[in-house]
Amino acid sequence: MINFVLPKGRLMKKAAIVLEKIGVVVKEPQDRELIVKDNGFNWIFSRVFDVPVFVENGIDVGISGSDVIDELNADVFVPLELPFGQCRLSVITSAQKDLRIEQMTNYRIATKFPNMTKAFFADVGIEVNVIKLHGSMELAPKIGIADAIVDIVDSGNTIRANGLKEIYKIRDVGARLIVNRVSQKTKFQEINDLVERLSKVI
Amino acid sequence: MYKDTVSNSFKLGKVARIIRDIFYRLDYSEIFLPAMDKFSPELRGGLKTAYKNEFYMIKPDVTSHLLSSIMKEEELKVFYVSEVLEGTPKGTWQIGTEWIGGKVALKDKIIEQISTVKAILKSLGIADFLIDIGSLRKWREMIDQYDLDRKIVYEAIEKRSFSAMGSMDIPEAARAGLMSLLQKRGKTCDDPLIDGIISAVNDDCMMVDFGTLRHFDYYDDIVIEIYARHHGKMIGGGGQYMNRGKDCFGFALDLGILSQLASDSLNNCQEVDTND
Repeated sequence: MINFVLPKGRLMKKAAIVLEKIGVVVKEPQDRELIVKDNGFNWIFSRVFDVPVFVENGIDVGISGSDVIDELNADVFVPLELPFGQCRLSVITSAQKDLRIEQMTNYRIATKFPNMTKAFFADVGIEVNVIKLHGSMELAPKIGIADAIVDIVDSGNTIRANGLKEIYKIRDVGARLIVNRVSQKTKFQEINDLVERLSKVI
Repeated sequence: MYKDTVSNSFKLGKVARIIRDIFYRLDYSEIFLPAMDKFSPELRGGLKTAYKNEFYMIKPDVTSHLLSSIMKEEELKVFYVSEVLEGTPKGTWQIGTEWIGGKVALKDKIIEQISTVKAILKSLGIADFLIDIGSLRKWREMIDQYDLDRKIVYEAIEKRSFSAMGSMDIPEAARAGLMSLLQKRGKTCDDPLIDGIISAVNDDCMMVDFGTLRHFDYYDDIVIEIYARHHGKMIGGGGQYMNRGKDCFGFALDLGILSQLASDSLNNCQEVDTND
């Protein structure tokens, strides 16, 4: 039995499509179910930010965005990069301003990713004030609580619609298969088999 | 302020007392290292801080701290109980040993230390543990043979990243070699030192796993990882390193995880023969 945690939402739908290619059918939760047992798997459905936490603490396998894994500095194996969820973590400011990163000293930066944001600005030698928010990042510069945001950009439509623009890409982001360090040893054959089969279809 | 520190201390203390007894019976001396020491590049882990224009490390990794404190060549067979920080103020409590220098052969040091780990876990009533043994030398030999970038290869191994290994610009034979090492897990490995240790320990809990790669760069060859089947986090680990040209070996166990695993069984603790 493999305990497999998936993030609720868009990433789960895409994960299910890839898993189906190796004959693994994700049984989606009915009503408010959080765990579904089916065909050798315990499917667990969690919030995006909790997936690496679950896997680090004992759930065998999960699928998570690399942004969340890096932000949490999760101590997990990351055997495979998966071919979906591709986007980028970027610095975003008002479309009206013509700004460069070097001009952002003492700026207030709103983000869901405070650790990566602090690390990025420390690396480029710019001191900023980081404000942790849990969502609706685009609001922060509009209502004046932040001068810029660091957030995930996919097509760029949302930021354009909110009068913002991307001025610097910090890193690429994508979906990853992650594995618990102990499970990799105690369920060696089952997990290797899963990784090997997945690696052939991605 | 952290909540429930006192009751947590009692739990950790109960486990630490049992382990201390084992170490004393095996002639280890307890050492007490300062919580803060002047920053030095030899120190690993810890939390960097500044005081009166000087940089300090708070609660660094104990092995590197001890090695940077040794002033003369001598045999040290020591143990410690210490909180260790890893870049954040929230640390983990560790109990561990270091066997530095002396005339005992490396293989015998490793066998004694693995036997000590077993004695500790059995004393705490933890039965379903496993000890994996790996070799950094095997990876180094592969890296040197194909002149590979050590940093990139080690990053890929630490994450067990097949994607990273698959996309490296290296000869196919090198890739096949790396993949084969990463997948090597079993009871033997045709390495006389590792096979000899497993044979001497003579316990089903021992496994060869070359995917075992401890994080600290001071390790030289043999590394171990200790874990239980029904707990999602590593109980501990250790490895071999050199100090002043002498072989050394040490291990550390996470006191918090031990106390979780032992909590149901502590009342039924039995005396275990440390020569087991």
